[in-house]
Amino acid sequence: MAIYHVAGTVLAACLLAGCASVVEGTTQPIAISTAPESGANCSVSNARGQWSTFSPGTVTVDKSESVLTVRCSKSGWSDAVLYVAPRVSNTAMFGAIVPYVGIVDAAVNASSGAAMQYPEAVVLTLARPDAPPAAH
Amino acid sequence: MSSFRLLIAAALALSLSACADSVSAPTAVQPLSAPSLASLRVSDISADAAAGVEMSDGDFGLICQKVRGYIQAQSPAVLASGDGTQLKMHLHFTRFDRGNAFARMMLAGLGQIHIEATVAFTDAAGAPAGTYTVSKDFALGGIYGGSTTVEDVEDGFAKSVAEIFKPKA
Repeated sequence: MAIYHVAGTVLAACLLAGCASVVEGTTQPIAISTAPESGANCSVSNARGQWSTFSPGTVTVDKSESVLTVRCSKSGWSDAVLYVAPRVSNTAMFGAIVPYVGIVDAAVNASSGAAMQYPEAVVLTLARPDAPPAAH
Repeated sequence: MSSFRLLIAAALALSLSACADSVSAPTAVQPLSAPSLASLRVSDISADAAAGVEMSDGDFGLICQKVRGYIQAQSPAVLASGDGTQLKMHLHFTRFDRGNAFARMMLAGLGQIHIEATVAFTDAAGAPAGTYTVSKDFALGGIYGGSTTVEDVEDGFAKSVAEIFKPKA
């Protein structure tokens, strides 16, 4: 019987706030590392804010439909920039296809950014200033 | 029965041709000359958008990154340093519609994604060396349409831009 209560609570929460918002939240951690050297100063930004860390490190970003820009700099090396596209999360996709609930769910998830998911980890390659530009 | 199979095959072909990452042939407005293509070196890739086209710096950066990546994979000599015709590539976006994922999921044809740009090449002196237009549309529906984002369609767009450097048979 308790399982029905839990299921009912989750369904109600999904109805009220969007499945992905409830299950996955509106923030996510992203591990950032640099190669061949670590210790770079890295800034991360999207339409919802800006965060920073030293590599290797982890930042917790607000999820968004916008592109995530990761920029790392270290003395003696050229700045490395990586642009990361968000993906639609499976939970958000599931919530959106539930009859009747879907349209509310999709709207809530889209407005909170919870529907999207960035990769869990990114690696940026630092290059010497005189080296030819590397393909991303 | 055979006409039914033909219909299915035609529908499948139509669906595949409109996949998010499929190639859309670039249209030459002022084609690069053949000698240029053979010894072409692209030293810089930049992007901007026409008035009224909403794109962020992140959008420009991601598309340039993808274009560079697909050129590197397909025609690495174009991005290599060395002798050759040094050109700059500039993408001028005239259309960038993100569409609506929920509308696409509900019905194919609604909430379409459109990307359209002029790809211009200039030499070191800033003189025009070639111009192409590239457009990529996405109109599929269902779960595939709903889970496809403009960034997925950018892959097809970037592959289409890289086609400019592909040796013609």
